[in-house]
Amino acid sequence: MRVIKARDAFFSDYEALQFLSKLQRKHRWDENSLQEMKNFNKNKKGRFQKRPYNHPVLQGIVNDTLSYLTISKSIAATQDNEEEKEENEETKKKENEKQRQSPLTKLNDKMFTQLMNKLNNFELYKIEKLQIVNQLPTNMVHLFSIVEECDSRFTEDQINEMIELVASYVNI
Amino acid sequence: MFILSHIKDLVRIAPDQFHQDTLRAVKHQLNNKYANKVIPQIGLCITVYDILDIDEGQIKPGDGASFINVEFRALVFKPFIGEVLTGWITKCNNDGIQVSMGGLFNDIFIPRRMMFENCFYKPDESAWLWQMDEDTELYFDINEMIRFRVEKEIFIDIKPKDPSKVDEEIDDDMGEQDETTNRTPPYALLGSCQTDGMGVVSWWE
Repeated sequence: MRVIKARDAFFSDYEALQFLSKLQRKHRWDENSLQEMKNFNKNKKGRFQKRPYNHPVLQGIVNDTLSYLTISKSIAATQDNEEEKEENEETKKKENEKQRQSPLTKLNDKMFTQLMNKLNNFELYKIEKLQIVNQLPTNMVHLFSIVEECDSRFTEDQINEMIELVASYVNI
Repeated sequence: MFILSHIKDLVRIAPDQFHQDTLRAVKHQLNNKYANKVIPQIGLCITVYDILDIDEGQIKPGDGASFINVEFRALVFKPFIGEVLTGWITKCNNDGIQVSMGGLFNDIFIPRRMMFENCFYKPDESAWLWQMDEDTELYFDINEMIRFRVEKEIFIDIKPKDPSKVDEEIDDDMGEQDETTNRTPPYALLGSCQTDGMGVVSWWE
């Protein structure tokens, strides 16, 4: 093994999420395919079913990474979730599940490039932009922890603008 | 949090794999070698991202397999120093807090000297506590979501086990399954919780 370039490129969480879920579908490890496979094994009827790719180690790490990426990192969503759990309705449950998911899962390529272009209007470093699109901070403290010396580099209006911008992509 | 690393490697394709498409066989071998493994000085490799270049296969005397030089990019988990990450507290002890990121990565540690001022450990509750001011005490509870900054990465070269001792260890394993939790991690992160916005996520919302 020879490492030619240790860091060829940065990879955002969104890209990782897209890449890995595509991989999961391709190897038939996603829930739908696994369900299909189960049904097929039970009945042994119907057309030939393509088998999932047999590579437990890869499957494990892909699933773990995806579950980390899809889980919501903001506390508001999870708390709502617990309160509403008591109502125990099917539709509510589904809605909660959606809430518990990270806003990253709701983005698509077009929205992502749009967000990136809009962030380019601010004088942020590449690393800061990367962290903003990874974590999508919607409150001031979170943004301040990512952007160094935020209060001296940006005016209050600019900071609010940034937070509103991110929030407009989070709350869809 | 993730990077792409450009790596060159020699892949051995065994004769029983010759019926497969070369690209597929190469990817399979690479994933066998790299998926969920730590590459020293780089990070935790998740999977092969793309194949950049495949040479023609070569054969070596005495081996029926074909050897192929491959250049590829790997998707690697490697947070940069200073990056802010979110994880869950798994363990608290006198030395600090152990944090995990789901099943993805578990060897993150926040030592006591890298926490807020006025942080102390309560042995009877086995939890860390942050005395923000005189009336406010905030707890670092287990399973809370915690935000921290990456301060340092540590790579430890793990040597293969001594074959003469492996037998003994197999006997030991029968007795206690705790062995996996006490191993030294090949790649560990040290985090800090010293600035605003760090610590348990719910404090700041």
